Amino acid sequence: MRIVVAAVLAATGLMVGAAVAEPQHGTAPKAGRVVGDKAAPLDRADPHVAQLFNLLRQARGQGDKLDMAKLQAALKDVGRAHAIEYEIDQAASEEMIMQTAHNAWMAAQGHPENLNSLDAFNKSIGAK
Amino acid sequence: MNRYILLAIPALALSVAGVAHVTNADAQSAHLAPQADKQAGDKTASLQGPQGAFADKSVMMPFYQILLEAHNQGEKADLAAMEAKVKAMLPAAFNGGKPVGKAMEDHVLGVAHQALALGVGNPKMFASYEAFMTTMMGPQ
Repeated sequence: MRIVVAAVLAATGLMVGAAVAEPQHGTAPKAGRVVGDKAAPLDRADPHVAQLFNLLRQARGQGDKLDMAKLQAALKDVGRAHAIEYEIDQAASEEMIMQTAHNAWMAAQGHPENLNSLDAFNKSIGAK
Repeated sequence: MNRYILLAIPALALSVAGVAHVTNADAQSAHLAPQADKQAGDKTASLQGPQGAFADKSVMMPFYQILLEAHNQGEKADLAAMEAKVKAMLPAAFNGGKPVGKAMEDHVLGVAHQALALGVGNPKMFASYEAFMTTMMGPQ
């Protein structure tokens, strides 16, 4: 099931990590800023981090009954809300949220404790 | 002459800053005095001062109960249902029965998600309404 979820997330265009610009040393971007044409990584104070955390825990709790379409729609909603709040490009924001969700999901397969607390989740996604 | 001017400018700046600081401190101490007395024995103290109407129990208790229900469901929590319930309580809670703005709705939903997420690592915050309020807003 977990492999299927990861595969579906990947197949829906989430494997874009290589294209996401890395922050330069000493110039860490503020959450919500746009790096090139990409949304900057999430900040731990961002309520959308908590939303992402809750959604991934819910996804894990649903097991085989997980509705991928609903999860993707919910993640897109988070991306849209993030874009509005930080006044950044919607597509870039959605892509960043989906990418972050994908990475967090994959990491949680080997480290399920990542979803045991918001703090652990923040660390796992590199939120500052 | 120029030397005196150069010395006078920082002195004037310090003087203005000092007056501004005292005025601000007076305003804050007047504002926070009842809180300070009340919290004399506390280990921590709220730096926010008195909360607004949103912190009223009639508003926060329903909010707490909605989140408590979702919290108790753990990973099987129906987040969409939680959000729908929170949205439904907003008009009466914050706008005299009229619909609230999208920004307000998003803000409260963000707080709801943060509370739920915090509760995963700190389930004691949902043990009582008082514990919930203390965690979310600091000691009152």
